[in-house]
Amino acid sequence: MIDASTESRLARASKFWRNYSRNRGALFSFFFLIALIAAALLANYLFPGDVEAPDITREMLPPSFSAILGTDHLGRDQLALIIFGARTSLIVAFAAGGLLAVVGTMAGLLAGYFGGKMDGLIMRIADGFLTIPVLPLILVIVSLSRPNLFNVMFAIGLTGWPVMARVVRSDSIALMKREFIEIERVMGASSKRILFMHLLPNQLNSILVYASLSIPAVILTEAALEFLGLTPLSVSWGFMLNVSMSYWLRGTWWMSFFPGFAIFITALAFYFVSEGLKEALNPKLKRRRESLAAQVAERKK
Amino acid sequence: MGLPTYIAKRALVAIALIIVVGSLNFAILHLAPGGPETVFLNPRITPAAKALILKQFGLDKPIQEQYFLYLEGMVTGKWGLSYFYSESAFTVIASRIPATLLLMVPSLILTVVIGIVMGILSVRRPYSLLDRFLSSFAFFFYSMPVFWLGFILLTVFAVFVHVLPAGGMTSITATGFGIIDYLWHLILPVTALTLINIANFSLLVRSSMIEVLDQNYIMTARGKGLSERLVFYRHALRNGLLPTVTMLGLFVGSLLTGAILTETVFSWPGLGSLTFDSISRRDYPVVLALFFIFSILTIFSNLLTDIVYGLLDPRITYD
Amino acid sequence: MSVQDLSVRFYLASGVVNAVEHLSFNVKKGVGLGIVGESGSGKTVTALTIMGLLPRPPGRIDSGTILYSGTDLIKLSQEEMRKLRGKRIAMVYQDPMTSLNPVLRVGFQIAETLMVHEKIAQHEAEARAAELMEAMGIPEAEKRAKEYPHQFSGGMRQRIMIAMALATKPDLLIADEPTTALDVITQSQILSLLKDLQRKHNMAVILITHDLGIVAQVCEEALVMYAGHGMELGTVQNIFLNPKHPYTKGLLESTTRADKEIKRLSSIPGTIPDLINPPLGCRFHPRCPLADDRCATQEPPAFPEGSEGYSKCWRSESS
Repeated sequence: MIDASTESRLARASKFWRNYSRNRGALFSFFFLIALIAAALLANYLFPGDVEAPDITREMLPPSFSAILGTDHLGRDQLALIIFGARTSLIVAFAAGGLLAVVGTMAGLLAGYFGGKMDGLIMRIADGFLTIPVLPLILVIVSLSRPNLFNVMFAIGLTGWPVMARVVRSDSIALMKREFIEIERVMGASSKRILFMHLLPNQLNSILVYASLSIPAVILTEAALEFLGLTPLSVSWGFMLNVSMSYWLRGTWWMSFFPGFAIFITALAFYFVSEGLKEALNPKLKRRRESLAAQVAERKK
Repeated sequence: MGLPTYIAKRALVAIALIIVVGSLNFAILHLAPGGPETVFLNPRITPAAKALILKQFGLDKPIQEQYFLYLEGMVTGKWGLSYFYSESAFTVIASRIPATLLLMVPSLILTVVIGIVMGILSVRRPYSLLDRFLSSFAFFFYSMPVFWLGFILLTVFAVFVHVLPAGGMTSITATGFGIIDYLWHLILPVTALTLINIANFSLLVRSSMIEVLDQNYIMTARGKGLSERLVFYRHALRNGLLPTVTMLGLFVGSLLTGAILTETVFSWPGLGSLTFDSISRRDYPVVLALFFIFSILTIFSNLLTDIVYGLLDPRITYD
Repeated sequence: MSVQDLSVRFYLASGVVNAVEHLSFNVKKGVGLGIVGESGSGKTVTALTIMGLLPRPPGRIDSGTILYSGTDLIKLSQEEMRKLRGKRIAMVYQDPMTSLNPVLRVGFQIAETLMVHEKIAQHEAEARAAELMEAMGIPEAEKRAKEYPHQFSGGMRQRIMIAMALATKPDLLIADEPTTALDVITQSQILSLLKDLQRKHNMAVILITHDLGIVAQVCEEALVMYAGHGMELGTVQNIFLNPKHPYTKGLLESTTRADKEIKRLSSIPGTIPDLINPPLGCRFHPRCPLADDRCATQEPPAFPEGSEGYSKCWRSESS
């Protein structure tokens, strides 16, 4: 609970880190993502020159020393393309993830706080969004409007909010029942105050966890969109896969494998990180885990 | 609430959603840059033909009238004219439905059966080696893009080791041994689609069961001196599987999405690859119509699972 | 049943929780024993240990014996304990709303106990279940046995749970806060029901509660627990009219009584101790008005009081 904690910020941060590092998968993934982000930012330095420039002399070379991940149909180095492609994926991941977190949180807070008709309305809309299949909806939106990065982010963010909203809503409802909220209302606190100073801060942990949990799905959706050829961004993992489709019969497996692997490993990394966050921020969960695990071990004896 | 009321409510919501989706289609149609003409008409036709078609489609009428005509068209199957095929979008789509069903139905059945089994195996001894292995398997495949998995399967089994066909639904040399040929072609796409969905589904089953096992009535059951087996299968499982029924409805939605991607990779002639092709060809009428049918399928399956859930949960049937 | 020197601890990564320490008490047939204490005093853990429902690990029975008809329950295997559980020793739980399985018929849940322990056929067991429900005061029992828990009120559900527990005519019934979740009127109905049944079947009853009033109404003997220790044990007369332990006195002074007029309710200052790091010496000394240096360093033994009771306080040494 948010109270006047006696621990300093630093102490809490290091405790958090210690808890987080207990999950080795999460730790490893965290560093991986840092490395990926760094590489994406520094891509221009790592690969000077125009990465997208075709080079007829080196078309479709399998992985070798000169091109570690092989070259594509235009002779371009795949490793470079993949690092540059990371930019797209990471930007969309964070932006769309952020957007759906914001929209979802707002919706959940409003639904949980006001309850009644507002709640019913918001949840109806959320359910509606859930029943409409996401990819087709995004496809339609994106294909009819100008397909650019912004629209993609927008579309993904806009369709992903219901899950977030549900979680925030139920947490809000639980919080509303607690005494300190009662006290605030009796004292005549304004809705805005209760929402932003009490409901929201207490949920930051779980909001963070759920936002990060939604990122793998965002990455996969974005990759799928590019794979289907909706975005003109040639340097993106999904699109590389799209292109590779026309060439794979010639045995150019590296053109499909590496971009797909990049998508896979990034999504997996985000997943591990979010699981790690969930455990680190939720000590009760760990205790249950331990006791359950110990029970099982006991029974085996 | 009683079962009939419950069903009626859900059905109404479903109908409302369909109307919403249709209206969305309509809105998108008219909001598209260039207006509905760009969507419905082939940009290369002559102005005279254009005027004629505009009149035929009623695009020269006031917007409210157009809306109702549009809705009417949706119901009667007038979903526009495909640029590419020069037939009504409806016919094009209808001809492709069986193929997609052939892909989705086995996948759905396998997903449910194997997913439930995996979920149960995991949860019988939570956090044991088996559980952690199965859970790792699950989120491994959960993070995998289905089109990538498809590629890998294809490359390994069709290119490197010529065991299975490299796509398509039938072989050119097939003479009439319909079923076996279909099955042979079906193996890889279904595998790709199913693996990823099993991952998802088993995780759902597992978490639902873990929640149930924590409940008070499980303690009561144990307190009666029932064996763990009875407690697990008779008391816990029935409660744990209920939420997964509702999830199934949403699952069909993701199965459809998966189908779009899988069919593309495997050149499977169903609605999915049609979607891909239509987008590449900018065949907007078909794209929109596909969206509509995907939505109807999802809404309908949600309704179906809701009804099944209502039948299974005594709290709804008896009250 | 005789509990001697029972100690139960939970071994967690964050520390060892001393849930119950050196607890002793007896329960005889036909006698109702009330175990009173604040939440966290170890009452429920004791009940679960007797039933063999303690989750171990992380729980461990570090010492003590639980003698029932000459057998030490602690030494029994899981399988042997299971045969006793629900048959000779039964339990009724705190929250009737969540303690019954929502997807199984109520009559079946009662019949289950009979089917498992007395190996009779389902239809016969269900017939007896309906009789039991009738005996518990549920009207139209035969019809209602086919209904589901959500169709009953809280009080009715509690009666069903009692019927479930008593189906096999156990020797000992443990009731863990059976009325906490109910309104006052229903509460008194359930309590009279329990009393009647106790007399009729000559059962031993352990009633766990935090409400002294209930103990006074229904029990013959009482055990006062604090921080996992049995602080005072005696007949209800002795404890209420002549409490020896300061904690007992404090509890009595903080409740209203029908036999005395109270101007102000007092409360015991302080809070219950952290069970991972309990205070040295007498667990109650930080809050005790009569504590001295010895109390802070040495744990008092249980000084005998009355015929079979005791008081764990240095102040009781002299008597």
